[in-house]
Amino acid sequence: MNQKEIFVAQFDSIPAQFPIQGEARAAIHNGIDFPTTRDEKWKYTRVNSILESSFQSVESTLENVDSFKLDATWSYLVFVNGKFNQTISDDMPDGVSMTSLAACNGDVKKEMLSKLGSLIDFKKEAFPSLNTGYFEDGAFIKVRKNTKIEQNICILSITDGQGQAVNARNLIHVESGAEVKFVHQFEGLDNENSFTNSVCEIFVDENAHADYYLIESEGANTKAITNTNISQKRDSNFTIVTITKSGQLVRNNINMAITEPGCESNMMGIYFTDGNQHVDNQTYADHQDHGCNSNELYKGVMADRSTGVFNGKIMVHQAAQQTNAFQSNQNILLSDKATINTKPELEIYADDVKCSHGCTIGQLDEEAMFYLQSRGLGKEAAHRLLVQAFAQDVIDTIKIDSLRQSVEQFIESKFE
Amino acid sequence: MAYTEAELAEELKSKKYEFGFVSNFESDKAPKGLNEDIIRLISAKKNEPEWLLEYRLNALKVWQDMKEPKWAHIHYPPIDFQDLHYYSAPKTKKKLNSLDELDPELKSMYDKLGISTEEQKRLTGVAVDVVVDSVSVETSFKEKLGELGIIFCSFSEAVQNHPDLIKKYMGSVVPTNDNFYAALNAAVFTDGSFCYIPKGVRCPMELSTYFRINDAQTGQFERTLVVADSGSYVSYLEGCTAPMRDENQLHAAVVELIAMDDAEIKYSTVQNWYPGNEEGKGGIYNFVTKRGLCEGANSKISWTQVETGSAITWKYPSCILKGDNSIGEFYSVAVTNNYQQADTGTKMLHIGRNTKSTIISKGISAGKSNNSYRGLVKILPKAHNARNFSQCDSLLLGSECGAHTFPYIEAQNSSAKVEHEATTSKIGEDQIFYCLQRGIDEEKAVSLIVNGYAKEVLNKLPMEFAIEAQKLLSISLEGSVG
Repeated sequence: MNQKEIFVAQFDSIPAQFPIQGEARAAIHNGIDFPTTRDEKWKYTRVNSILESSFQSVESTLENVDSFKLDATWSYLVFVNGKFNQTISDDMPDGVSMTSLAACNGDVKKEMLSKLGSLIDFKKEAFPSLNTGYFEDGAFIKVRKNTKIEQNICILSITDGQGQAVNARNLIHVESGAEVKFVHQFEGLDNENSFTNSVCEIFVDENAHADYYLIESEGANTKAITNTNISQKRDSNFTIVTITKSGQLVRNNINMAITEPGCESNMMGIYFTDGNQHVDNQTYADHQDHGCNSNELYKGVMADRSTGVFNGKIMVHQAAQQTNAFQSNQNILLSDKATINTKPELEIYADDVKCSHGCTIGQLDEEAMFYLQSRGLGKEAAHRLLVQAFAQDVIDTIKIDSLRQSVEQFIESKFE
Repeated sequence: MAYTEAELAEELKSKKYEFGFVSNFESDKAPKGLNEDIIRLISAKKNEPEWLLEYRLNALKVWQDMKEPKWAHIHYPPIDFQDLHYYSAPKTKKKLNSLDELDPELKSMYDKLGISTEEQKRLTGVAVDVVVDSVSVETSFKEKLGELGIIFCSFSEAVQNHPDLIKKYMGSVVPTNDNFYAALNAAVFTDGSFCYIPKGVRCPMELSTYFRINDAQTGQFERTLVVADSGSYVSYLEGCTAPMRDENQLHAAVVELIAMDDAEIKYSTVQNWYPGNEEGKGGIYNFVTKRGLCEGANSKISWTQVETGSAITWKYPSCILKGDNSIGEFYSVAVTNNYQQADTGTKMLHIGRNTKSTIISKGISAGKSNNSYRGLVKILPKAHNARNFSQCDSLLLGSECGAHTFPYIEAQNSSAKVEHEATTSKIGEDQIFYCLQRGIDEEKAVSLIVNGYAKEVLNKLPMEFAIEAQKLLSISLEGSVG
């Protein structure tokens, strides 16, 4: 058996619940290889450390998850080691229905299966395929037509135990005209050498308005790969903000398919790395139809021996005239051992468009440092203030106050 | 009648290649195919020393183990490398002392190109080393340059007369195993130019080589080596036009530049090879490896290119900024029309301290063409205070063309400052409106905007070349420029 087979065999004891899982398993056993740095999309990220790990299934005894909650007023859906825990989860607010994937039946199951895997190419890409083949549970969330949900919904995915591998799978359908905000939070507990492999498919229908905040507070030695694939319909508005707080190796893939006219899409992100962390953000804004706007802003601060990677791609198809697509990636290197690799790409086949991307790598402004120090701030404090200011325009896009404050605190905590 | 963008696009579609003609002089050709015997034949024909033959044979082995690169954003039918002639030379083998001895047919070819050598000699003071199908047949101003100790000759001459320099520098910037096409070139290169500027000498004139691909089905494999010793300066011009032919022709050149302490090399290219017809048939495949090494402190290498021709352009003139305080520059205008495909850009490798690089790339796509910028800026851990600024703009004329940007930026030093900007747009209605408002008609407005768009790069060309460049740009963009 080669490395891939040994790695995948660790999951084979998980029973397949849906036909799609069989297809995905066949695909991964028979064809797809895990990416290497020779694959253009994985040029800067090695996944060997994941493939060489051995995993075990740990029974969690976790009964109280309050300490993980960023804001106790949200409605929580708690998944521990990939399985839904109903007893410590909250009821969904009016207008939102949630069924765990494993518990789906009847028409809901039919609907779920028609959507599951339709936004992600699980027969070509190894990690989505692994996820599709071996996920045990997940949430299927539906937000009812024309309802405005005031209550924030949080999917809390907790990995508890050493060497635990979790294939987290979620499906979100925001029906036309609905308005909703999601927080998807990954937490780790005692996770020496754990692995999170998440796939989330989000359908945003006509005129819907959805925000999705991906908060990654994985264990310090956890490797995490997340795939968030979105499909937007006419005149919808979708915002995704990715905040990577911790995790040894984190790779976020965001694929935004803008399929109909009049959409607005925002992709924002902050990564603040230290130690020997490696954080890789890949975004893809796929403009398939005309008159859509997309906006992208990623900011990174790299300290110690850490590495940041950003690869953003804007694709404008020939039909996507009158597209406005903007992308910006800004980075600060705080150490000579830190690295940033960034690749902002444009691929454009339509002429009546305004597209731009910008990318900077630099340091904190010396003059600003001097200004603050001359006014009595210590070097540390001045430093912190400037980094906060640097991150602020991404933080400002977070529309949930309590979440915004927690991200601000996180930035501050990096200087303690 | 007002001139609209739609009309400009229409004109671009139908604009014919003006320099398409074929000179009929007999060629001395090697049989088709590539193997050790062919290499030995080329080497023997050129009367080369043993070490160079070894070098070629080694390169052939390396090349045979390599795979054709597929990562570029270009599509073309597979090339049968065994179906090409790897050597062809004009029959005139005799060394010429004066222009009168020149083949009249060859001479008329120069006249059509507007670079009649005597004119050049008399009026512009440019030394022209004309390369026709791989063999250098004519070199001028050699004596004048010789007085200053400047060596400017064909590559094969340099192999005979300055073997030490060639041995020392050939392959030092672009090693044989660098890439598929560089290896191919190292195995089969037939001729090219060699230039050496001694210490402290400022070359008094622009050195220029005209390349032409003339014989159908001959790949042209040029090799250029420019060495600027400490404190010297040279401006080198390379210009290309090729006659109209139906079959695709392969071109895989290698250009190596080396700048020692305080030396400066300015390398300018105007490329206008046959781009293929309106259906995308024919045209040159241009796979070039160009790289400059800023070996010494305070050295500077500057690439300027105007790319209007070739069916496929695969070209990344790069700078290795090894010396402290060295500077690398890349200025490019790439125009694609009909079914042309260009994947071009640069690599800036910052190794030394306080190294600086500037990248200005302007792409103009029309018809059904695709124009890509692909570049790498890499700041290595020891490159303190490295500075880079990149700007890549694309202008789209017509709704069926594509403009793409693939910049790679890798920084490993916390004192590095890197900026990258890219925009893609068409000529804005507000821009046209602004001009109209001020009494500039639409035709002039379009011309003004396109001209202004490329000006930043055109301005970097030496005077002698700027005119030629504008002339060539106008082939693709007549009606909007000039």
